[in-house]
Amino acid sequence: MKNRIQELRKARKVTQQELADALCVTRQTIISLENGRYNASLLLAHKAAQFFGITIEELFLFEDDEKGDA
Amino acid sequence: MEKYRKKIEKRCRLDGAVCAGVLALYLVLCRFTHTAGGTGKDVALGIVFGLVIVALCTLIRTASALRDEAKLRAMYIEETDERNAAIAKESAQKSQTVSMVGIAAAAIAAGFFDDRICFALAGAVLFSALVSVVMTVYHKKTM
Repeated sequence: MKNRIQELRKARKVTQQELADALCVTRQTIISLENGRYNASLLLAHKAAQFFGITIEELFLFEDDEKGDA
Repeated sequence: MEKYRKKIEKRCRLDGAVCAGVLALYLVLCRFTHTAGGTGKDVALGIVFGLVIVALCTLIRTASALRDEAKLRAMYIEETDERNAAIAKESAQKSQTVSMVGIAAAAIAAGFFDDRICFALAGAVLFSALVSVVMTVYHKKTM
């Protein structure tokens, strides 16, 4: 699933470590999220959306072809 | 974080108990078993030292984290990180399957050489399978 974490993080001049600390995850998790290698849980998605002050739908881009995935 | 600190303190005590328990078990077995000896005893001693070293390393790491708030927070994040948990879960599932297949293959091979080894390995596979089934049933009921 694509997301706008890197874009929003850079726009707010926040480092990966700062974001990781704020979300209580490791920097590696932030890197994986930004690269799209890892999909966040609902809880982490909620925390990240709260951090950036937007909704989960605005942060995580749920594409049509993913809707059929089990 | 206070809840986590208590958990870590409990872990420290558990590590100390593991060290003492394993050493005590080894000494008791050495004292009361006269038939064991040679390679078997050496392997047992190796396992005892391995367990004690792992428990001591964990004890030192957790004890130092308890004294330093930054280290404790880093340890908390490292342990509760959801990606790490997902990796551990995925690795555990795959390694269990690979281990069971490997031990089953070893049991089949051992059957051609030594009955006792074959039965021991088959028992280990059956025990692993049983634990796996029990855990699956438990989690199906609790989740």
